[in-house]
Amino acid sequence: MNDFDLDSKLKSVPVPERTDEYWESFPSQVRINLRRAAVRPVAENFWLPRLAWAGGGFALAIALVFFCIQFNVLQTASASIDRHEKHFHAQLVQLDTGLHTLMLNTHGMNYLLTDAN
Amino acid sequence: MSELVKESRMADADQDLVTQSQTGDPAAFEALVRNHQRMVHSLTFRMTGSLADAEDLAQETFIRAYEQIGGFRGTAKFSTWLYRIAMNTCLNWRQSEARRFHLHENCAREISTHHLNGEISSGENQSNQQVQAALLKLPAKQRSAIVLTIYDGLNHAEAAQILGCSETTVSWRVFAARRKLKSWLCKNGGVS
Repeated sequence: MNDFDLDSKLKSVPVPERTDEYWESFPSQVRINLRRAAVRPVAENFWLPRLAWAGGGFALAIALVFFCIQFNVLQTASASIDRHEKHFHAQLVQLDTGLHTLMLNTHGMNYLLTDAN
Repeated sequence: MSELVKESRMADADQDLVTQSQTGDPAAFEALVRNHQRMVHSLTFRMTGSLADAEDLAQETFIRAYEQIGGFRGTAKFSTWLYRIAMNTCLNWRQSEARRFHLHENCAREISTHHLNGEISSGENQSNQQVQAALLKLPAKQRSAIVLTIYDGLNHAEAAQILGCSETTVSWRVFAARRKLKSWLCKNGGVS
């Protein structure tokens, strides 16, 4: 069977014909259903999808900036500890039993001493 | 009057009716339904094989069209836009397994009714049933490609626009569907 034969065979099957009354009543039936469902033509909001995309993009940009800032702070702290490691160790060895904590503030890397007693 | 002129006049008439429908005029929309009801019924019947389901889907198509008509900008013909809604409605039509099982029976009964009315001969009736059954066995997307290109005579570019896929996809679906149909019809119909 070639394509032409197949097409002819497919086209030979008719759509069952409906009565004239059916075609007359169908449009008014649609109208009744529209009224029943209280359907109104809705003007498509042209800006809504664009606004959603813009909002999403903005949120993503904010998240990215926040992530970069956090990453930068951690990198700075880590670099500062590495840079002053020797110095801190030398200082800490001189302490007796005091509890100590390293802390980073706006003035740079410091150590905090607390009395064990 | 040439087909092109007729089509152009129909398109102009549709455009006026669409504009009126967009302002909420139900009478104008009723006229649009009258102009396109046969086309939509034909499409929904080819896709479902059932007169009752075809009627339900045609109703649903026009209701959806009315809801969405505010978004119709006239970049495509109204009929193309309506075709797209009708096809999506058919593709979204979820068949339960039982419903699918009974589909062939319903289709055969509807075609047989015409046979009993003396509209077609017994041999023709059997052949029609086989063709319709084969068509319904196709996956919905392949069936939609066959319905649009063979029954409605659209080219692959137009069908692609309606189905929302590429022209290549349509060509592939038509090719795959043809291969299956030929195989099934040759097996059942004894066609060489």
